[in-house]
Amino acid sequence: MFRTMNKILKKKWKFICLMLSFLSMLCFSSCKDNAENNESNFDPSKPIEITDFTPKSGSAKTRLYIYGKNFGNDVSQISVKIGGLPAKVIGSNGEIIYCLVPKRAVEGTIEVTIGEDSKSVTASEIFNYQSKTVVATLAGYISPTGTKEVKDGPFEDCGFEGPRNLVIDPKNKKHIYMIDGMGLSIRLLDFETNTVSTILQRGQGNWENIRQLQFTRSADTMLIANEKDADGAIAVSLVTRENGFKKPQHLIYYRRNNTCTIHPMNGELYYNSRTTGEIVRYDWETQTSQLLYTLKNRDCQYFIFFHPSGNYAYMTVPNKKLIVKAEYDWENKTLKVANNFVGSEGVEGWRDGQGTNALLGNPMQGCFVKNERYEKEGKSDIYDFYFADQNAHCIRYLTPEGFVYTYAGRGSTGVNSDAYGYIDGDLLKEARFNQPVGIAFDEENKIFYIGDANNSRIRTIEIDE
Amino acid sequence: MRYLTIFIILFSFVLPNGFAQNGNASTALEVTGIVTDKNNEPLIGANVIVKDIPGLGVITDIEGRYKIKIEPYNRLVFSYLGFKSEEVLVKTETVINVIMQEAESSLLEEVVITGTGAQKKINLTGAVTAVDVGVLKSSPSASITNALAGNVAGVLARQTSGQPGNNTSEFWIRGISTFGASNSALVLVDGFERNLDEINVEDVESFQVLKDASETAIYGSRGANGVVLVTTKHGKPGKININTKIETIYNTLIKLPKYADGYDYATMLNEARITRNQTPVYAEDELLAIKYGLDPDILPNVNWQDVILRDAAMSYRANVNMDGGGANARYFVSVSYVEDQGMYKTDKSIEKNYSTNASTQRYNYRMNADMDITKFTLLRIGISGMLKKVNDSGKGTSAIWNSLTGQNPVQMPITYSNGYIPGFNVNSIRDNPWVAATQTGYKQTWSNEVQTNATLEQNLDFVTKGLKFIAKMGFDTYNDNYINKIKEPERWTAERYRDDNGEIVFKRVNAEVLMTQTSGGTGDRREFFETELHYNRGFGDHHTGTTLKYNQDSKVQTYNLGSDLKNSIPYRHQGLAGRFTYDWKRRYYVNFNFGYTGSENFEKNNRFGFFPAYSLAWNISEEQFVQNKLNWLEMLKLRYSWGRVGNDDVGTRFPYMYTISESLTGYQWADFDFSRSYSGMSYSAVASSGITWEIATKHDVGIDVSIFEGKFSITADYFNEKRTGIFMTRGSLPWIVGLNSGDTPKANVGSVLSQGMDGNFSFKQEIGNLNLTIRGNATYSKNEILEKDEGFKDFSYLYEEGYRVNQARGLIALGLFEDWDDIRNSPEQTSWGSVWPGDIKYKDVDGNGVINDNDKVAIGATTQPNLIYGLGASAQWANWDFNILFQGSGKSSFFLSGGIAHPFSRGQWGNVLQDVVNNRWISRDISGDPTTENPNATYPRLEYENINGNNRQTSTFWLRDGSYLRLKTLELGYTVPRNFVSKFKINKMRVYFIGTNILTFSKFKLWDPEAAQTDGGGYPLSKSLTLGLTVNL
Repeated sequence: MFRTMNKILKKKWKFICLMLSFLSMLCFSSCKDNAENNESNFDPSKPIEITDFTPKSGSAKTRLYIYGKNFGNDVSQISVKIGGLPAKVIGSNGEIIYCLVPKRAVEGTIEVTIGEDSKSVTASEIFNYQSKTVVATLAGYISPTGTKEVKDGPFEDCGFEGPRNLVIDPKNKKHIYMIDGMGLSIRLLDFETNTVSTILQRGQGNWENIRQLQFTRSADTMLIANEKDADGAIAVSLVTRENGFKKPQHLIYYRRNNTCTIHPMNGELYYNSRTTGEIVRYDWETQTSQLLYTLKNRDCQYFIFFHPSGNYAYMTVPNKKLIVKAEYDWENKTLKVANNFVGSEGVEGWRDGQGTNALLGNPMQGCFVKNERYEKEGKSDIYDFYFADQNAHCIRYLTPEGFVYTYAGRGSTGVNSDAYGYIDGDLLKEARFNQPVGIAFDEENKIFYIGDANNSRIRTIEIDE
Repeated sequence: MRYLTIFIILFSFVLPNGFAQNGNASTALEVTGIVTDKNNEPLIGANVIVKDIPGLGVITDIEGRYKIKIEPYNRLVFSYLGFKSEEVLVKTETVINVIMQEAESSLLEEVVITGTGAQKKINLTGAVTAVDVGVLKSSPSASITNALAGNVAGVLARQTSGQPGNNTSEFWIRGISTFGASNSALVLVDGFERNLDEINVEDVESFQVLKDASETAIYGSRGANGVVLVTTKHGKPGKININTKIETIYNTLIKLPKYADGYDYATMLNEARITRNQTPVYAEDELLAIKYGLDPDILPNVNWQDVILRDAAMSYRANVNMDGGGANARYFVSVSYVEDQGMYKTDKSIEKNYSTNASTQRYNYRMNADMDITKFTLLRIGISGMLKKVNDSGKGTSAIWNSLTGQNPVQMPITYSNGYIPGFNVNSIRDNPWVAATQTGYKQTWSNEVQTNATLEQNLDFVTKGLKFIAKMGFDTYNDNYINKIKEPERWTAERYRDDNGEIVFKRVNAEVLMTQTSGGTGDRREFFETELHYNRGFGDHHTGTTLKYNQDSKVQTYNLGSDLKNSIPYRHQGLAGRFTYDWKRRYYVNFNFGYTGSENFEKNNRFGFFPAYSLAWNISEEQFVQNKLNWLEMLKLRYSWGRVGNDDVGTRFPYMYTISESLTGYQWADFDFSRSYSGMSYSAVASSGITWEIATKHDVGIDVSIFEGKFSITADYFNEKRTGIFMTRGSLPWIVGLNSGDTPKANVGSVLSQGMDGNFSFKQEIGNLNLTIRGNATYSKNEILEKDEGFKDFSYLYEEGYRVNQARGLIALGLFEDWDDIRNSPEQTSWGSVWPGDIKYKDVDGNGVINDNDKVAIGATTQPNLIYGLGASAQWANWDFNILFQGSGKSSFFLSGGIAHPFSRGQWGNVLQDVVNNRWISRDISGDPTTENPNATYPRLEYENINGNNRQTSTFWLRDGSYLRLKTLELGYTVPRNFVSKFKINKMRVYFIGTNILTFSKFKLWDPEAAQTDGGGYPLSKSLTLGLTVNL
């Protein structure tokens, strides 16, 4: 029995305590997580040590791990120089620095500096820098949000809608003319000034869709193929060097032309019609057109590329997923009937192989490139045909025997299963294109120029030195 | 409005009466006295009230004394929990001392509510489980359904999700006995079909499960899957009695699947590709960066479970109810609040504005008023309501768990180091889990229910003794609404490699989507009407009872109806039911029940059906020789029942009607200028005439035993049920008939046999001060499809006929292929692509030398448990009480599936179980160790993509036993001594602690087996600790 006031108060107090504890339970919220990184800070009083690094050799962008002590984990404080050139430091846990080998780090010395007071240490071994052929970017820009801007100017500050067909000026190899966008304009990549400029807009020639550029044998006239779905539409126009390639004159009218190709020896012009698949030969002397034959049937889009010898032509047929081959009739100076050469008609895909075993995505522009090995082996045809396979997102080549191989692109298996993207680097391991359409080869400098349409950039393939 | 009028009229009678009594206090007596028990110990806090005068009452103090003013010639009523009430007529005495007798809880006195009213348990002839509501209260779950498993004989239950607001259990009375559209029981709350999930357990007066045909036949075409009857509390005459309860619950997830970390994941990803002659995804030196966390942007290592999930979440419960009243009118009023918080972490910067965490809040109220309009007329009015609010993140819980199981640790960081938010498949449920949980806005749904009952009971004793008329009306509305406030952050993806300068190349995946909202809802309205006529009378040793009942109900969708007129036609039922009982000397019982019920969903001639049932019982303990010689045998009763019941839920509205619609594709009738396309009309649903309900023919044999004055009691039932006429799509119709799969005719052709046992026992013992009760129950059910309309199959074992409903099927695995020779010497196994050593080898069941779909046989059981049992004990000692319940489940199995059991089956979407890291078959070419080519490994040779490949077929290799035994409840309570609490005018105060799902024993170790989530995704069930306080004023 609790008679005294005191005791009652005491009990009351306990009761209140109990109630309060319940209330406090009601106000509980879950604990905050206390995940903390193990800080391993750089200690200026201790020496920096480099014990090892891997790998011992490699090319630009090789992932280099430098092992040692007292690096600290503040990446902003760590600077690494390889071959005297600054390397991008990505991470450090105090004992391992992860960085990328810069381009042209030929000397191969590895130097680590931590902090402002430039305490630095150099690895005892030398990194063996190796050069290799890589895909790189010449010009063009898309913001990360996907916006692009057509802009003339220096290579580092210019923009494209989507570079497509490319042609190198035979008289001045430092000029490359290109079609931008879906036949919107003709632009010039000038390697003398390293600038991009616009030569002609679509409207200036009354064109609808500029499809192909081609120099005549004299190299003083550039032919321009235009595609328009109308009877008597402008099919081939010409501009001359004399006029600075500025004043277009119309030469041929035809429905939905896609190509304008000159025979490298005899100089006659071939054009076609996508609607009907017809191929037409134009004779400069008689100024007459002669319908040769129909390739496939209706709706056959194709581009014609002559072998440098003039012995035959390949025609890339994107909408049939084919490359066909037509021998040249030297007697009548005309193209013979074309036959399927590689690809499976109507089947889009990406598979290397011979003849119909190979699958093509959307073969667009191509160019013949001399293969030195064939020359040594004494083969009769010493050229491979390199072409941009738009939907397979890669650059491929076709050997005289009819084998198709992938040369560059579709690399970086990893994060996503896409074949396309914008990645420079190793031809097959890393590089990615996004709908490459145009290709041109600078024989002198051994550089490929790629019109990478969806990346809106001019890419190059060259040996990194 | 009408009820309100009645209320007002009634109160205008009752209240002035009460005031009048108080007003005449001058002539009152002051009565004092002491209330004691038979040991002469004072009873503290006993109620002393004046009969028929509401509100006038006192309680005894710590010495058991009371003092009350009272008019002479009134009755004093003394009541105390656990004691029999005493009534004393006060004439002129001023001192009245009362010795109260302890109430005897006798089995023979127990009352069970059945479909036709309350019956004494001893008179029952059918199979009914009357649930002790007290045990249901030991479950901290917001839903009463979660307390059923292990507590209620005859119910198989399973909880499949722990998500607040969605964490209710599915349950089946005596298991699943149909493959038709519905296998769920009919739930009646206060006599009408209502929702069981949202009921407040403190309001429940009784909870019965009607299992056999003799009890359910009166529900006719709706009773085949069993019936749950819940009644709510009503006021008892006396001083106001206030009960409050507060619970605080600390929830943690029982078990989460453990995933491999980034380095193990990436290593195995490479292995999966290399081991099948594919190029690896990560270069060796990249693995190093993952391992040491050197490039958290492009080569991260994220434990998404830690990012998203809290360690624990809180739940709160509060309840207040009051009851009391006088002889003329009584009331019960209750209010309760339930809150469950979810497990998701929130973004601190958003938290101020809104919560993205899953949560639910629920308010319940209930008012039951009983009024004696005349001496023979009782009017009961009940109003109850519920408001439930559920919150979820914008992408929703299913997307969060999908992302949590799918998002691997190396694909993307939580955010890039420049603050950009990563995303790949932003429009699907495959998202960055952190974004899905915190950055996509929030969804609110709320439901409300208002339920109204009015019951008029007219005693017609003045016509003839034992006659009674009851009329009931009900009107319910249900509404569900949602507002989804969705936004999306701007998301970016980084290219796989850095650019020449080592910088990350970003690509924007989507622009920011500012918050937008959508809203909608559904609702329905239900109306009920019922009349009953009861006539119960004994003539000497003969006792008879007759009940006739007419009922009708309708349910109509009230909004969001669309343009289809069918949607606004109410679902209606109508029925006449009856029960005739007869017994002689309470020894021999004969009961006959029937239901003649109809449903408007069927064709005119098939609407009404007659469902008869009879039951017999022999109460041996009432026989003379038992009474004389075996008087320790309190009860021994044998029961048998037979009957037919129907199930009219076929899942199709008006199956006897056809639908004609315009076909979408037309035909070109012209040969040029493609503009002469016309489409025709065609059947989109073919009429299936003659469709009606399923019929269950049920047998039940039961025994009830109680010995030594209820010290030991047992009830056991065997049941056998044949379901015929199961509504199904005709599978045997060939395509040549010309009907599309969607409009194939349906028919009542299926048949299922199910049988099993259920029972429970209890044992009570007093050892000194210790009161011990041990109780247990078990339910086992097994079914077999007798008939199902299936298309032609090559082998008899391919049919579902002859196997359980929802039987698991798959190949029989014989282990892993040891080497190429093993593959060459085994039956051809190329149906799902080529096989390699380390792939699963299957048994050629049909012996044709080829493994294919024809080798898939019945394996394991079903995902739903076929056995549920519970074993519990409770003890009271002085002020302490203790309660423990083990609950188990058996005869269930499930297949592991999805990305985590089949690593890389969806490419790089899908986490990999840590279990795979240690227990898989690894080629010696990769490990350099021949012993890793273990033919008994738990996981086969890794494989990239190929989601339907050889190893991904359902087979015994992936079959897991879903049975478990768990310590479901552990409760410890302390009742604060009365002589202390009575100082604060408190009758009783109890503090208690409950642990729920504390321990689980199972062969399956990867995650909690109850939910049987095949891929380990989904919101897991929780383990919880509850601290509670009840105060009774």
